Amino acid sequence: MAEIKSSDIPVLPWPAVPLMTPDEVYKGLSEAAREYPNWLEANVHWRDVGKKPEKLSRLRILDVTMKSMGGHWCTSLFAEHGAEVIMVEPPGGDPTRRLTPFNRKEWMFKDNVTGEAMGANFLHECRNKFSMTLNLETAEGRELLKKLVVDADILVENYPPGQFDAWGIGYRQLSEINPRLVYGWIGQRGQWGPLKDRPWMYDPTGQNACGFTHGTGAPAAFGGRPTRSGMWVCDYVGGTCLANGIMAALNYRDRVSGRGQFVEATGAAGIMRIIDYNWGWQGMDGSIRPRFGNWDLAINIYAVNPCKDGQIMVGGGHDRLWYRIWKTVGKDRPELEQHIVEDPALKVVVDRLPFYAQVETYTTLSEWFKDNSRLEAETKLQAEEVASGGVTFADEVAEFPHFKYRGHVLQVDDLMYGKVVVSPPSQLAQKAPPRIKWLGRPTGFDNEEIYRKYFGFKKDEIDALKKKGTI
Amino acid sequence: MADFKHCSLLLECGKCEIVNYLDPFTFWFFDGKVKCAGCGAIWRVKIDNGARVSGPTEDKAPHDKLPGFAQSKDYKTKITDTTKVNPPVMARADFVGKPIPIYKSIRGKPVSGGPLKAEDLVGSRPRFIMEGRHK
Amino acid sequence: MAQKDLKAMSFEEYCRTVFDAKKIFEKPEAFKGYTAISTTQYILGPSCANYFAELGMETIKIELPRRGEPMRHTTPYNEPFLYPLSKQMPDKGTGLGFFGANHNEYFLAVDFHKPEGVEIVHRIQAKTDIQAENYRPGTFDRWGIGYRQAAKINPRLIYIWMGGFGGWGPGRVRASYDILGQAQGGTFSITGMPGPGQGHPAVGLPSKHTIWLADYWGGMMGCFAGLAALWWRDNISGTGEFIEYSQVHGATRIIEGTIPLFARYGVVAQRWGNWDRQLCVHGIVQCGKPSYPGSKIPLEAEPGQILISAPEDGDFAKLCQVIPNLKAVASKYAKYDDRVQPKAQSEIYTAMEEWAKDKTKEEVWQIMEKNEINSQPVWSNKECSQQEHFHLRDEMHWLDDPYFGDVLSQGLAYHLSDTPARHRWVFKPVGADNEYILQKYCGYGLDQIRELEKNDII
Repeated sequence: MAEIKSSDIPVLPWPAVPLMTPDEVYKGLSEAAREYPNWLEANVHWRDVGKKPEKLSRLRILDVTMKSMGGHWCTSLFAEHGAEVIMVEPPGGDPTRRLTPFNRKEWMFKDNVTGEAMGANFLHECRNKFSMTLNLETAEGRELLKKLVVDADILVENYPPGQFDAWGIGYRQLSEINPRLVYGWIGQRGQWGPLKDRPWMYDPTGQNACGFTHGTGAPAAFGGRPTRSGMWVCDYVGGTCLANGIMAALNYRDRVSGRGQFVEATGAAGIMRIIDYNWGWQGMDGSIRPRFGNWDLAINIYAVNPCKDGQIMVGGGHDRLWYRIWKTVGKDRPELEQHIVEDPALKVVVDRLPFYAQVETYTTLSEWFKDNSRLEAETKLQAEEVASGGVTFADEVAEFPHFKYRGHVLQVDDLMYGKVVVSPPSQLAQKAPPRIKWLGRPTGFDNEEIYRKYFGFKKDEIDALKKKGTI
Repeated sequence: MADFKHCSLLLECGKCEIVNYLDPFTFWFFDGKVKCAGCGAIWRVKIDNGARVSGPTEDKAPHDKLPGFAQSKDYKTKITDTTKVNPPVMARADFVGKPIPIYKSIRGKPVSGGPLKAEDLVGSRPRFIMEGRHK
Repeated sequence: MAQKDLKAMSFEEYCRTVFDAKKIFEKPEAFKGYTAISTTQYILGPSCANYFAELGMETIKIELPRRGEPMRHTTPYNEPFLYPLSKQMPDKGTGLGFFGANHNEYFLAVDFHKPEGVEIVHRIQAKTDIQAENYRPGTFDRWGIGYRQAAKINPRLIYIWMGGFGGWGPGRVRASYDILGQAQGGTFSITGMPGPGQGHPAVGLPSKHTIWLADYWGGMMGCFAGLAALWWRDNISGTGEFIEYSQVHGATRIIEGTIPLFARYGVVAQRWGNWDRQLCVHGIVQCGKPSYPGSKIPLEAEPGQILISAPEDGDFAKLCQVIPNLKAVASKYAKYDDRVQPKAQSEIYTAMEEWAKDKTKEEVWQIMEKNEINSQPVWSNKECSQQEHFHLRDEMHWLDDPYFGDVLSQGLAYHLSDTPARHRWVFKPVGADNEYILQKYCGYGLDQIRELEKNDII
């Protein structure tokens, strides 16, 4: 066991710029105008979460997923709300633990007890969870899982379609042991149907199957091609869908039926559900949604365009904002404002939507952007109450004053992983808010406790199982 | 009328005075020849981070890129010929870019996709749907 | 009998039985008898309430009279609309931007700037379980219909405020839209083709997720908090709850380990195009040939793309057998640790694209399927809508809509075996359910309703 102390773990200074104080934030506001934000701060501020109860603290969840992030994301939402989430991992741990960009091992996170390295993504979704190991490929391992299921509320798995069923631990079998169990499966295209998943399909399979990749990215005329998300977005969206489905099943179980149910969600279906008007448009006149870069098919101005030091978003879908945007531009470059507001083709909102109208608009706008940094453009536009904001990178996100003040980025001082800045739960609540209690656990860290607590095993029994490779 | 002589992305042709819109996604970083959509003159420009650092100087064909759009300064001539400017991003071959009445879905069943008159309604529903004629 | 059959059948058959889309309306709803209010506009708030409506809550969308909420006037290229917009405006349509966030809802038009309108909202709030709202923070409070007033009328009410930057903190006055959330939250910074000189064949700028991700997915996150609050209320506390969701915050939540990586090691994650930072081979490969060479739609005439996924050592060895061009690098990059390095990725994908030069995406797909290697062509919404798979699973469906006729709509994002979600209609005209809602929730008679109409309250 490596001897690492929390104080030895290298941490960059954060925040580099101190948090704003309430007086700085609300400077110049009247008492009346301060009243509502003050009420919010008094009721939903992150510093008070420890004083409040948790919504789902009575639930126990088995997260039997691996090699992918969808299941972990899903159970994270429950863990943040207080549920007891136990990651049931194969001996040696979920391989996702060891994923780090470009295999850069020096960018991994080590705990100060075992010294095991964990990738940043896994650490981010390991919050508030326990880790135990169990070899489901052995009959004995599966028997142990069945015993654990007796008192579980939820089980989430992402094994190849039918694998658990063939092993005798699918929903059909487990619901006999525990009829109250809500059983969730998550994948990319599905566990049944003509396109059902092959073993271990990962995101972006779902992204490609649902039309997302095809519609994202710059048009060919701009030198673009279909573009996948930089994240495993299908995992996250699909995982959120599964969490909602499970939550609905739990509500029904505890209010009406007393029985759990089988829930399935996929990344492809998750994105298909939220992919705007693609299907309606296709169904009405056969349109194929084209790629439109960082512009928008249905609103002008509503886009991200390059500026002096990066890219900036500006949005204003109706006349009032349209003229405010050009008024802002006109303060620096009157000829640009004059040119746009004089153009008879751009007088009416809907006339601004055709392709060449958008090229005209955004080229002219970028002519102003090129002389302005993100901050300059943003400040000038916001003075006219126009929504705008720069494209920010991780360093800027971590130091963004608003995020720091509201705890959108938060430094957690973890017992095992030291000081880590993370993005905490994004829902704030007045009475029973979600929260981060700890960051995570190394592989099988809680074996001893869980096998004693739920199985009543003694030390020698646990050691024997370990020796056999069952856990 | 506005003067675009000092603009980087709004390239006013020195010969025909057509304004060529060098759209930011294609031309933000650009060092090459662009063909005026009005008269076909070839201009060499170098644009670095959106700012023109050299040019426009006249050059010989062939050009590297077409502008994104072009029009005269008085807005009277708008050039959208795709041999002269970049092609639009189209959703269909016959795309028109303004509200189009659609009365049949792509599988041939009635859909209420066109303007109605007050007498076409029963309450707030189209009459043909109320009467089940869409089945 | 039925139970026994379920046990005997194959797993595939079992799934087809318990998730059968044709049986959805024979099953109960998860939230029968619950009522939700949607005082929302654009996508973020509406989508949240829409998920409630799918699960069986009677969801009342309250809009401003006549023109309705702004999203009704948003449609791609301003082309397709569904008519009528309202009883008063049969010649105006609702844009397809309204799709996807308003299924199953009841539409009430109320001008809640007026005292009579406030009274209507209060009467509905008194009988409501959950409310989604996304006006600027504090606006509803000022109008007397916010959480603080509503909680006095109905302490069991769960109230979800959703918006851009949240109601407190330095950015609270800033307006927000989906792409602003994406830009400011950091999802742009890791999506898109890399800058020049990064060893990637395509070059580009940070990109948006073309769908309104921060809105629609943000709605899901709000929905989760709402459902959790309902569970807590009904099983434990008995009290309502106030929830605040900031979509900009959501966008920082979804960018994975990017923040911890920066804060500990100073690494600022960048974009890596269509390949994967953590797995290799696991990237989208450009094919040389278009699948529809004669098509008049320019998009279809472009060459296709396909994801090829063989990240584990065994998979990669198999892939090297299938793609001859990979033989040269097969032994060099046999181990995952070496293969995932940027330079290796560049070499491997270049060799694969060389191989795919004379193939369409379907041809590559066939080869991969034959050799049992995971792959998935990049499908357009047309190709996707033609897949039997998605229709069979009700993830996309033709709705015989009672208001608009034959529309193709998104289906359900999750399948529940006992209490499935369902879609009844896509949306309705502005104020379509005025009479029903005012009668049921406010106890108004016909004369009163006509009076309200005359005074432009509804």
